[in-house]
Amino acid sequence: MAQSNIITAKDVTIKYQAFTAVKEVSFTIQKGDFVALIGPNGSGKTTLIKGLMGLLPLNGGSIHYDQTLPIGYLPQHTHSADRAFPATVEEVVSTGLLGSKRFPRRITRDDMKTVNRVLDYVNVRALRKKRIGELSGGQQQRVFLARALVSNPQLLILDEPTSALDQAMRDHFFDFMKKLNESGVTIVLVTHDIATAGEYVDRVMYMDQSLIFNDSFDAFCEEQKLSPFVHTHPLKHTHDSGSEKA
Amino acid sequence: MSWWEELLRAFNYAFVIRAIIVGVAIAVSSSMIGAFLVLKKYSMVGHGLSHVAFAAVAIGLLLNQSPLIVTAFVVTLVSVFILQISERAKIHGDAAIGLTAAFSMALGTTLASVGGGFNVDLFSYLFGSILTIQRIDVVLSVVLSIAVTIIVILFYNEFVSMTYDETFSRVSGIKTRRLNILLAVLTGLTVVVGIRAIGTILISALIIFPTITALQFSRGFKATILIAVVLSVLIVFMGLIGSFLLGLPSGSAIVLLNAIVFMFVFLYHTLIRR
Repeated sequence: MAQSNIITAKDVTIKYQAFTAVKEVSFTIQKGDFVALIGPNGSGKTTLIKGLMGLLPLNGGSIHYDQTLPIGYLPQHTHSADRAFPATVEEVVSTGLLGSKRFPRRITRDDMKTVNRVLDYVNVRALRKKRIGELSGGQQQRVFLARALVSNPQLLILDEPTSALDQAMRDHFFDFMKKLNESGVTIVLVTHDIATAGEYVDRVMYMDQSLIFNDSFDAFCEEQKLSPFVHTHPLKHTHDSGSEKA
Repeated sequence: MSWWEELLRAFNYAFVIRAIIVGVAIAVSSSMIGAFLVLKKYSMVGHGLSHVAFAAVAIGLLLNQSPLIVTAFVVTLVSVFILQISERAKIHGDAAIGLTAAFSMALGTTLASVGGGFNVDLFSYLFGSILTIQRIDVVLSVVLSIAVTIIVILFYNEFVSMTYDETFSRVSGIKTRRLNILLAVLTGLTVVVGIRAIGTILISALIIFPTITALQFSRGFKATILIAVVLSVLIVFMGLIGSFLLGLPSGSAIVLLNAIVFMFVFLYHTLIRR
């Protein structure tokens, strides 16, 4: 049975004035995919994600996705440095429900039950009445994940979700993502931690301005001619820019 | 006459009652939007707009038009302008506010110098004077304040989401650009509401003080706004009565009382509770 594409990106180019951050990138994301988007610092990963989410205008190419599809998004560096910010964990997570509501976007008691159920799911329910700024980086990350999950998304886009987590928490996080993916949620994950993510994802997309590699993790390791756990050396340009291998 | 008799006597004067109604109106609207402005780090928007209000009042007096209506129009327009140039031009928000404020003060002072005769009136708009509050000011203040309150209640959840994380809100489908403009307009209207009782120079303090005082001990966004509103109403009420009893400018009395309450709460939380 043919799988349905939920994202189709064709020749996407995004520039910051004269600087081209993303150059002619083409790929598809299919329903049920679990994809890791990797690349060195400044390679355009976050820019591409922002283009996907409509946060940055495209300078070329096109992105098509099902507009009715509920999307959960975890932006990069969301940590609350402001300890005085008064919103509680519950309040922050409940904002994840607003996108699916019509004006005046009231949060009901049933919504709060959903919020607490998701907080339970990510194991931070005990912190629900705390100010978000009082939480550690790892706890905040789980709260933001809860905010992304609370609207029951079918597509989850996560930008560096494990950057504030220690190794044990990362393993726990990826186990959790795998379970979500097995329940039918499509996941696109920007990460530097390919060593851990590689065990879980179906596909690796490696980019450095252009999309250089787009295939399974095993093929990625083969490509590198290195152990899967040695990931500090970026891939050499073994494919044409913008080519789609998958 | 004892201070108690003086206090009771105050309520016999229509101008004191008018001042209290206007004061409560400004206390409610300024503290309702204060939480969003302070936490978005837009506190200085109110300060900048208060300077714009000074120039607008001078224009109104010079043209012999209602200063409040002229100010409502000009301040609302400039609030959107500040937002636009800080978003589109390569000018940081604080720089946009700074240059608008400086230009407005220069314009207001120049107009006052040219107009000559209205300097005394202008002074009452600078620091607030309960003696000058007219029935039309009461109506305008109450209507604007109710409008601000209703809009904040209707858009409350969107404002909270945008204040905490604008990027996430945009992705969620919240029209953050429209909300930012709405917040700027509400700020402009609040500055206008406060001109008579507090004065153009001190109105920004009423936007900032109740929120930062509430933030010292509140838990939750809704609780912060509720505490700020209650605190602000009480302080404005006491400040107005105090200004009447002691013969002080109402704006100064209210702002000083706000500062004293903030210092007390801040010291209690930093020195005693920690």
